Amino acid sequence: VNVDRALIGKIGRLRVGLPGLAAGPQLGDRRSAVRGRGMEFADHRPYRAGDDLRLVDWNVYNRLRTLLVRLFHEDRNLHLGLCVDISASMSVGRPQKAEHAATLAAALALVGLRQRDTVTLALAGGADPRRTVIRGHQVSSFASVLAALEAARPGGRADLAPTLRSMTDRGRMDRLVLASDLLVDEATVEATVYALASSARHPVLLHVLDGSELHPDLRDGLEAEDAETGEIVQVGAGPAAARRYQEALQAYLTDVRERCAVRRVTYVAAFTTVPVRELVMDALRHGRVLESARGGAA
Amino acid sequence: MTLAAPLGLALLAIAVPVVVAFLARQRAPRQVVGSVMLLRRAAGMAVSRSLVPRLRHPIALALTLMALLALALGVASPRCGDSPVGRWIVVLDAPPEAGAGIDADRTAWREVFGRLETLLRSPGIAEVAVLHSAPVPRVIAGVTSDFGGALALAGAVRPGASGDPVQTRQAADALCVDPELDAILWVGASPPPQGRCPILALRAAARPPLTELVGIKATRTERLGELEILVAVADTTGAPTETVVELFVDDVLVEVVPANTVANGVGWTRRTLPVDGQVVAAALVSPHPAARARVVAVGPPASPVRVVWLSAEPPPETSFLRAALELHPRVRLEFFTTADGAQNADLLIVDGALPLPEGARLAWAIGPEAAANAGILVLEPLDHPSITRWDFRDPLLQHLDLDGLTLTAARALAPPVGGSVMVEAEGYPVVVRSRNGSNVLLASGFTLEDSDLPLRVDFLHWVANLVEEASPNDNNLPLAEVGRPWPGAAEGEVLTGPSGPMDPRSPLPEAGLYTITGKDGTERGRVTPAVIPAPPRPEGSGGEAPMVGVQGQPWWVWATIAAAILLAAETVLGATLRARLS
Repeated sequence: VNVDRALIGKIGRLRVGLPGLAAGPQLGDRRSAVRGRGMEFADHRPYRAGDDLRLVDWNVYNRLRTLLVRLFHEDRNLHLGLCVDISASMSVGRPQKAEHAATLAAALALVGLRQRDTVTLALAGGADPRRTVIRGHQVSSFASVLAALEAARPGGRADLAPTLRSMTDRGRMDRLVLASDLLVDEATVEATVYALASSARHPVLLHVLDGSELHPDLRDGLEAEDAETGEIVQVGAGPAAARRYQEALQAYLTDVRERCAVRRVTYVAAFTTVPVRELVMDALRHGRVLESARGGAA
Repeated sequence: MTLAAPLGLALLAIAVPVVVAFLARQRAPRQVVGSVMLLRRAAGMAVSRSLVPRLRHPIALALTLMALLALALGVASPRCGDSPVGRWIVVLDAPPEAGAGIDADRTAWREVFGRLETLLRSPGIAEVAVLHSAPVPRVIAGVTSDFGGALALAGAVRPGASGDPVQTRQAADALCVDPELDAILWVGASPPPQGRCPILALRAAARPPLTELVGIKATRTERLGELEILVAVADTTGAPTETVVELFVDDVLVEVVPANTVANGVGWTRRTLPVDGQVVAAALVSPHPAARARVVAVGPPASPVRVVWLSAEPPPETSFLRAALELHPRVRLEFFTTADGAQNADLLIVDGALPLPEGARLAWAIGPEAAANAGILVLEPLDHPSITRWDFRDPLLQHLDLDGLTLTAARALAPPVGGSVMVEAEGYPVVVRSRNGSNVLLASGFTLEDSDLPLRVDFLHWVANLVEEASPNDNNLPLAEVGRPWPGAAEGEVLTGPSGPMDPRSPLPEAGLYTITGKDGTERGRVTPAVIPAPPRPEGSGGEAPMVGVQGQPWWVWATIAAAILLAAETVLGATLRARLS
C-alpha cells in the first residue's frame, strides 16, 4: 500500500481530540481519572502501611492527630487505536481505498505520536494472513507504523470484529479509529460496530468508499465481479438500474450511520473522492477527532 | 428404436427461444468491485433472476440445451432393441369400484375395456398375455398372438374382487421377458405399483374412498396372556380414508382403534391385547357407508403347560404360588407327595427335602433343603440379606425388578459346573440355574415365606416367565390370515365353506364364513375373504368419464437429471467457469 508521505509531512500541529479523561498507559499531559502522583491536589485518604511518608499531610496530623495521605490528579497520555481494513474489497478504487485508509491512519498515528500518545495499529485482512499489531508512544515508532502500512497488501477477507477485540488486550482504549468500507452484510456491520463501540470510550468509524461505488457507471450495464468472493452479478443498463442502485446505497449508508449513532460511534465519511488533507483538516477536526495542539477544537 | 411418446420431442422447440436469448444477450463490461452486495440489491429484483442474463456463457447454454434434450428424450421414452415389436402383459385389476356405472348402459369397466380393444389393435405388438389379479394373480390367457381369443377370455372378467397389487405386479413382471420391448398394460381402478417393466395404465373411473382389509395376523407375545394383533389395511383410492378396526375376543368387542391407512398403500395397525383366549376374532369396519368389510381371524390356540408340585403335603389354597399357577390359563396343575407320577412335567416345583424326579423341562427347587436334594451345594446362612444384583438378561428374570426385595433368611448357594448365578444377595448367590441337556434346574436358597416376593407385582412376572420357559416350543404356530385358508393347513384338515368342504390350499372363491377343522375334529380357525361389495354410485357423479392415462418410462427420472444438470450449471459450474474462462 502506498502511503502519501508528502501529504503527511504537511500536517500541521494537531492532536487527537478527547472529550473526556484520558486513561493511557503512560504518563502524559492529559487529565485522567487516576489518582496518584501529580501536581494538582485531588483528595485525602487514610494512611496505610507502606505508603510513602512524604505524602503524609503533616499539617492535618498536627491538628487532628490522624495520618492522612494526599492524593493528586495524575496526567496520563491518550491511547489511540488504529485499525485499517486491507481486505480485497479495499483494493479497488482510484486512488485505492486501502491507500486512502492507510494514509489517513498514518496521519492520525503521526499526530498521536507527536503528542506522546500511545498508538496501536492493527491491520485487518490482507494477503498476508499474519496479524500485524504495532504499538508505540514515541515519534520514533512512526517508522514502524509507516513500514507496516506500506508492507501491507490488500487481499482476503477482514475479520474486523475479532481484530478490534484483539487490540484491547491492555484494556479499553481512549480513541479507536476503524478505517473500512464495511461492504458486508447487515449482521457483520452490526457485529463490527458493536465491537468498535465496546473496545474504546470514543470510537470512530472512517467509512472509506470509492467514487465508483457511490456513482457506478451503469449506462451500458455492468458485469460486476466481487473482489472477495468472485461472485458475478449482472446489472442491466439504463436509468432504472442506476436509480435502484442509488436507493440501495442510500439505504445502506443510512443503516450504517444509524447503527453508529445508536452505539455512540463517531461516523466520518472518508470517501476517496475527498483528498486526505481535506479530510484531516476539515472532516476529522469537525468531528472533534482532531483538534489544534494549542488546545480546543478548531 | 421406438418412441412411446413421440410428442415429447416437441419439448425441443423450447430450445429455439433459449438460443435466441443467448444470441441476443447483452454484452456488458466486466468490472471488479469491492462488493456486489449493493449491486445485487439493485439487480436482484429485475435482472439477475431472469433466464436471459444467466445464459451469457456458451457453457451455460450448452448445459441448458443438454438438460432440455434429456428432458425431451425422457418424456419421449425411447427404447432400443433389435426387434420393433414386443409383448404386452395385460393385467385385469377389476375391483368392485370399477363396476361403477357411467350412465344407464355403460360402466367404467366397459369403457376401459373398449379402450383396451382399441389399443390391442394398434401395430407394434407381437404377442399378448392376460393376467387377472383377483383373488390371487393368475394367467387367464397365456402368451399368444391370437388377440381375439385373448380379448374373449379377458371379456369374461367382471368387477367384483381385487387382488394384491404388489403380487400381481410381480406376476406380470415374470411374464415380461425384455423390459426394453415388452410392457405391462394395467387395466383397472387402482394405480399400478412400479416394477421392472415399463407399464401403461388404463384406469377406470375413480370411486368414493374405499379401503380394503388385506390381512390380520394374531401371534402370542412373550408375555403372559397377551396377543399381538396385526391388521393390514390397504387404501386403493389415492386419498387418505378414515377407517377403524374392531377387535373381537370370543365374539365380544374389546377394542376399536383407528387404522393406519396409507394413501395407495398398505398400513399396518398393531395392537397388543391382554387376552390369551382360544379364539380371537377381529373385524374391520370402514365408516364410509359405501364400504364395509368384516373379516374374522383366529388366534393361535395356546398349548397347555403341565405343572407338577411335589411336596410332603399339598400346599394350602392360600399359597400365593399355587393361586398364581391356578389362575394361569395355560397351566394344568397337579400335586404329588412322592416322585411317582411326577416325571416328565413341563414345570416341576419341589418344595422340601424330596428327591427330584427326572424329565422335567424346568424344575424349581424352593429353599435350601430342596436345593441340596437337587445336587446344589448349600453354603453359609445369610441374615436379612439384601438383593444386590440380578441377571436381568435371563429370560426368567425379564420384566422383574428385585431392587429392595426383603429376605429374612437365606442360604448362599454354589452354582454347579456350567451353571450360572441368577440372583445375588450381599455378594452371595441365592438363586442359581443349571442345565442338564434340554432340562433346566433352578434352585433358590430361600423359601417364599422368607421373602416378600409374593407380595410384589414382580411375582406374577416371575410365574409367567416360569410358565413361558417351561412351555413346549410352539413358536411355529400357524398364523391366521385373511382371504386365504390357514397357511399351515396340514393333511387331513378340512376347509368348510358356504358351499361345503373344499381344499384348504385353494383360494376362497366367494364371500362367507369358512371353517377349518383339524384331524381331531377341533376347529382350527375361521377365515373369510376380504370382500367389499360394490357400492351404489353416488348421486351427481353420473357424468364422470373414465380416466385414461399413460404411465410409460419413468420420465421423471430424466426430468430430475435435467433439473440437477441445470442446478449444477447455475450454482457450481456457472459462476466458477465463467469467472475463470473470461
